[in-house]
Amino acid sequence: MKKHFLSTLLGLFVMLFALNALAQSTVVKGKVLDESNEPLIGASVILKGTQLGTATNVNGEFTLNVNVKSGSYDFEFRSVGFRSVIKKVIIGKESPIILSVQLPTDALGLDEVIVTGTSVATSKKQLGNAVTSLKASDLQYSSATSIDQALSGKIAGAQITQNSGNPAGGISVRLRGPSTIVGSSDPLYIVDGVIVNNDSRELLDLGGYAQNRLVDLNPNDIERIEVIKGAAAAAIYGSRASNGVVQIFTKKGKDGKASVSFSSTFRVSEVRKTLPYNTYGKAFVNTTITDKTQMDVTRYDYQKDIFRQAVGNEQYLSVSGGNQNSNYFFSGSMFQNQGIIKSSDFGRSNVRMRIGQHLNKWASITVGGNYTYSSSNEIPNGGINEAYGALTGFIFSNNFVNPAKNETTGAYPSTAPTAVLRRTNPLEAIDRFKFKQNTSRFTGDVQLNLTPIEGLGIDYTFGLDTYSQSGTAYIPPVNTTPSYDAGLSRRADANVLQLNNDLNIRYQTKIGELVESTTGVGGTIQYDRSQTTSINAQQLGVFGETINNGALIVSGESRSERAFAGIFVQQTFGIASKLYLTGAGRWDAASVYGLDNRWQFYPKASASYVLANEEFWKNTLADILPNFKVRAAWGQAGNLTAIGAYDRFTNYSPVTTAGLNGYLAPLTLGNFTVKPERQTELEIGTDFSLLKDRIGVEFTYYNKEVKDLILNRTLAPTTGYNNRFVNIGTMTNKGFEVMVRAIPVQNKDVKWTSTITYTQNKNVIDGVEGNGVLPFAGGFGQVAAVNGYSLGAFYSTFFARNPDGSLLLTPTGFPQRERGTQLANGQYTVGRDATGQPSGAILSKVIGNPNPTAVYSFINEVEYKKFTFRLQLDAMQGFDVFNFTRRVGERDLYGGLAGYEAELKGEVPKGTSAALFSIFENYIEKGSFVKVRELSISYMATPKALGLKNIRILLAGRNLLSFDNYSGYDPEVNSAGQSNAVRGFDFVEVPIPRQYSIGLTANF
Amino acid sequence: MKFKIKILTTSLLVASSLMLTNCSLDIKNPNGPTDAQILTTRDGLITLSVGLRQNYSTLGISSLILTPGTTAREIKGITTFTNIIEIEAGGTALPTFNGNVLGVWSRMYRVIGMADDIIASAPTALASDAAMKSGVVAHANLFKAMALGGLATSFEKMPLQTDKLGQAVYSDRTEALKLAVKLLDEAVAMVSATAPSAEFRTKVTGADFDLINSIQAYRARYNMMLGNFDAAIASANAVDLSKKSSFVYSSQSQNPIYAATQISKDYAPRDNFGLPTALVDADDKRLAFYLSTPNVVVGGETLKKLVGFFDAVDRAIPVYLPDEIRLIRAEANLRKATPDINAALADINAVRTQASGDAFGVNAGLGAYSGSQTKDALLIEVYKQRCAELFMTGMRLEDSRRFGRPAPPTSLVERTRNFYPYPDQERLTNPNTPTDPSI
Repeated sequence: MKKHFLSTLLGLFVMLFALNALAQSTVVKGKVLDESNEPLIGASVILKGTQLGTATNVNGEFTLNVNVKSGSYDFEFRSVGFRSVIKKVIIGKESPIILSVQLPTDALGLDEVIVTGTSVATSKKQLGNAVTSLKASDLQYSSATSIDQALSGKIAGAQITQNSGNPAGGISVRLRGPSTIVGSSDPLYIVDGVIVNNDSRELLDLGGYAQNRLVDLNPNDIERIEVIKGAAAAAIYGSRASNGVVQIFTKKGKDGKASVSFSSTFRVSEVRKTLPYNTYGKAFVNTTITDKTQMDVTRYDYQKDIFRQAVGNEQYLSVSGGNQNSNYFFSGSMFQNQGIIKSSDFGRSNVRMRIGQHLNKWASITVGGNYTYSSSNEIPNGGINEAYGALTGFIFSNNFVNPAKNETTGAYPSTAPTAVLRRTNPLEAIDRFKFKQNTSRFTGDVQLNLTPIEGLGIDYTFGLDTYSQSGTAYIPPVNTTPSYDAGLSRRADANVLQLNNDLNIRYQTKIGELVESTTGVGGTIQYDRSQTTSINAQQLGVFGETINNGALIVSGESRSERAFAGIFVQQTFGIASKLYLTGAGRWDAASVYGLDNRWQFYPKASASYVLANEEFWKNTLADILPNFKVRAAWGQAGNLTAIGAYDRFTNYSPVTTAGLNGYLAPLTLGNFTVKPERQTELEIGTDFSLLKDRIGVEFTYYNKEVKDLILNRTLAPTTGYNNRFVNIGTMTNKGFEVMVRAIPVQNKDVKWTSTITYTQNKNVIDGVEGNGVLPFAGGFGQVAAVNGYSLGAFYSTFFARNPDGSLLLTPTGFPQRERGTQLANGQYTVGRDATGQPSGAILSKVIGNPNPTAVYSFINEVEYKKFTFRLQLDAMQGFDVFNFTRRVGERDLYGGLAGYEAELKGEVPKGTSAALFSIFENYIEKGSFVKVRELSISYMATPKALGLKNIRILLAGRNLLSFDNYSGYDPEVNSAGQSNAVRGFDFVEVPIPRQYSIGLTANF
Repeated sequence: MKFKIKILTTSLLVASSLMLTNCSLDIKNPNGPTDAQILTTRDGLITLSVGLRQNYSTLGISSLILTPGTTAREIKGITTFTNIIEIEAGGTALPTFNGNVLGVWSRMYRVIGMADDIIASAPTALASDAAMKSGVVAHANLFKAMALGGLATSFEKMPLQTDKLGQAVYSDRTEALKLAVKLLDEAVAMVSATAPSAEFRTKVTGADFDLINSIQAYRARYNMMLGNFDAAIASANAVDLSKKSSFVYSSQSQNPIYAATQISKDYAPRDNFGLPTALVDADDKRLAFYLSTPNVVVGGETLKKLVGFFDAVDRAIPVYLPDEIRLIRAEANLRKATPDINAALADINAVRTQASGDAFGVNAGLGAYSGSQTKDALLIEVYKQRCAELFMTGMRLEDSRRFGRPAPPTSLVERTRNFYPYPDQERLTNPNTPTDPSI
């Protein structure tokens, strides 16, 4: 059906090209200024209803040749951060026409034009849903090295977590909480119309850490970012946008002579905090509880040999320009940054270009392309699966072994407590292991924009994103690792291709005097493919690093293809510029679901009421609340990518034995009836401004409910299977988000801007069958979905306590686990035997929650003459961290942390740490923090020399301080990487470094 | 203008063709077949039979040897993974969520599930090839019996077949063993009636796996466990002791005990096979066959380096050892209503005095039995020989119970549990799960 529909439409466009009309040429020129008569650079000037437009130069001036029939026309003047102004102009014989306008400040951004989630570029006031938009200048002082890192703290409704302090980060973004269990909760990223891949592939086991591929984008290229947060706004993007959309627009050339920008940045990173290590000069000779014999030992500080002061640099050059009909933008950058773990680094080279061409006055085309080569030297840490990491070795070591290399033999000593339990010597991991990744990536787009008749707009976008990522690992033979003392060589490659084709058509017209109608229809076809191979070689020869040097080689391959299709209709009525009503319907299909559930319908509706435009308001309240708008949006979306391409089948795995080919029944039982999760979101909000627009407030309450939540339900093993995808659960996210933007001071010399973002969210899961507990992989069995609790709750053993809350000790005086009868949903009844000791089964309960109740930020920016000072504080509150680092480091077998000293000194009985080891509640800690995320000062000079327009020097700090009570390295990181369900799990993950940078930007 | 129209027309045509390609929403999985292909075709059942054996010989054996082996003190769990600490400690504190216990349970039912599927599908998918069908079904019967027997070693009660709806009903372990014997009886009858084809041997069993002798050996083993002494002797006599039947391994299908003891080093064998010194002959050559140096001391216990069938990634593991058959016969002769001491003694001495020539190289090299020739004394000798000969074959826990060795909770020296609790994962969704044994 759809094929037919699309080809008819395309045929129609071709016919439209025959149209042409008589016209005459007129020059319109002038100046765009702000309220204090300073020129606005880069303000756009658009002849409404056409493709004609230009932008102001450094002096705020513009010149536009218009080639239209005589008549009355609307010229719109826009600049980010200012209210837009429309001027009526009569085009006739007169030429040139001189137009000069002053744009008023717009703290709230109500007049900002938003294109995300709308069928036509729409001012924010017309939208029923909350949208956040950020411009390059919001990010330019952040010193962030990736886009998602730079977004931290700037979006109300978002929780942005850097999971690792490695130089290529690893970042999770949650908009209004998670919305799936088995899929990813990260938003859909669109860059210049291309759906970009943001996978976190673990080609190598780096202990849990993985890069997410957004790291390939260069933040310097960004002009603007728009963020919509949920289903209510997702009709245009469909069900792949059920976690929200982050749409990124890169820079393009502007009318005028070539503009060159060069910047250079130098960075220094260091570890913010190291763990207090055991300095007590004695150790027990054995682990027998009754034998208190000690020996003298020398203790070593391993961390000083692991962490370093790291340096990095970045060079960026862009050239852009254009004329009325064409524009171009080219940029190139080289980025290199060391990690704070010795021998780790990340580098990225980018080349980007964008060319825009007006083909005639109603047709334009733009073509963009970006090539990125990223490479990294990795040092494994953490230890979710493999325990060969550097910090992993440190925490499993008993620090009375001198870790230094034996200079004669070149061998590193085992730092493990006993000969049989080998653990990696961290210095050896840094010195001898070679773990590398590199990614070669091309992203390109073609966009065709047509406005063939007044009111009709047609946009077609083709996007392509393809990369090959490869990882190589080498652990030379004869080493101290637990499992690979004969050496390991691994190579893994992933080839990924994503295509998207989007056609959007809209028609705007007036119905009578009062009603403006905007109709949108569109369709999308998307395809993606990934192919991965991996080869592991063990029992290596003495010299070479490649697979061929191994005696024991195991290889694997997997391929996956998916296709998606969607069509939508959306209708908006604007009534008297006050009330805007939108309704939309969308049909989506994904190849991952069975035929019966493939096509799904998702409706949405929204309304926005700009009360401030009512006459009664203008006469009464306008002085106090010059802007006031209420809005509501309701919508549904699915989740087309929750399960993998072939997960609905019972897929048998190939195996070989004795040279015979066989197939093995899988652990996962297929399910043809599984269907996309259905998310229903309601959001209600208001936008208003106070004090003559000096304070702007956006407030949104939301309630997201996911029905038919897909659980990878565990089956009774007597089914013959282990698990099955079933639509069985529900999940809700309820909360609110607030953004306040204020300009406390604004005069000729000083402009002080403050922004507060605040998000409160509560996530609850329900509908898990059986006893209401579903454990997740990757959290050592201590992380589960439990009915009535948040996703990723820590579910494990806890202290046996007396009625007064004190610990109920064993007869020999040690703390112990609670016992009794386990009930459903993490509930239990405690059991006691005749002597008052715990009896029955060992109990588990929810002992912690990794999801913050509140995420907030406070940003202050003060511009004083040519100086800009900026301070951003980020905070998260009300969440727990599972401190596995401390669990291991304080245990008698290892004992490298200061927390074990008490046992050595006899302050607690010998054996206490071993008893505590299996009581997981002991390792749950409050993670709440306030961090000095960004602190910067910059100076802008405008020397009249060397053809410079201006030059800016920036001194910036990032993650300078953290105010928290967490005993580990950093409450923010997560050893399980970008895992959707396992969060707040700290097991010697690299802490986020403190970073200082100095940068210089020159514009010519 | 004409030129522009040309460009536009071209670009629109390109665009439209792009929109119309890659549009199919029916994408086949290139990575492997689905149940539809496996369970309805001849090739499907043949290859599933291979998969069944590969799975039992890797994951299955790994659980059957390591978990009860730790509980019966043959080996010691030495890493600090929670599941290994728990299984090493055993006792009443063993949690119902222990991963090792779940492993024994779920891996055996995965084997049973595949065997059930083969047994159910063979009559139609292999209807036209009786000589393939008898081999495939007998092979599936054997593996289902082995899985049931493995479960009966570790659990008191268990379902006799898989139920995809998750409502499997439980039977006593003796019922499971009876079903195992029945499946093996049927298998013997099937292959006697219609000999499996040569194609069955080249495509399913390969050169190293001896189907008929394996069936008879396990028939002897489970009859012994059930106390069917005459049937045990008859089955034992039907085993050709000169034949070898092995599970073979390669880098793609690795010896699972090698991986757990030499690569991840989660476990290490105890000195003296983990036995009290009275049960070990210091000059037993099997000590050196299975255990090597260097020794390490962990928690006061001396641990050895494991060799035997477990010192290389591709080292074959016997499906059964010929001397097990002799020891079954000896034990049945001792335990039957009228014990045959001489027959038992002959088999015991055949095992003890074997200095060379064992099919798998497990030679005791001891002198003939010289102790008391009472039934009880000889039973202890049989236990002693079984412990040495059948080290790390997954038999110790069953033997320790059958020979009435010191039991928990009174004594944790020779075993730390009698039976395992039922895994949480089973209890969560199957309402028929019985009460856990206390120890």
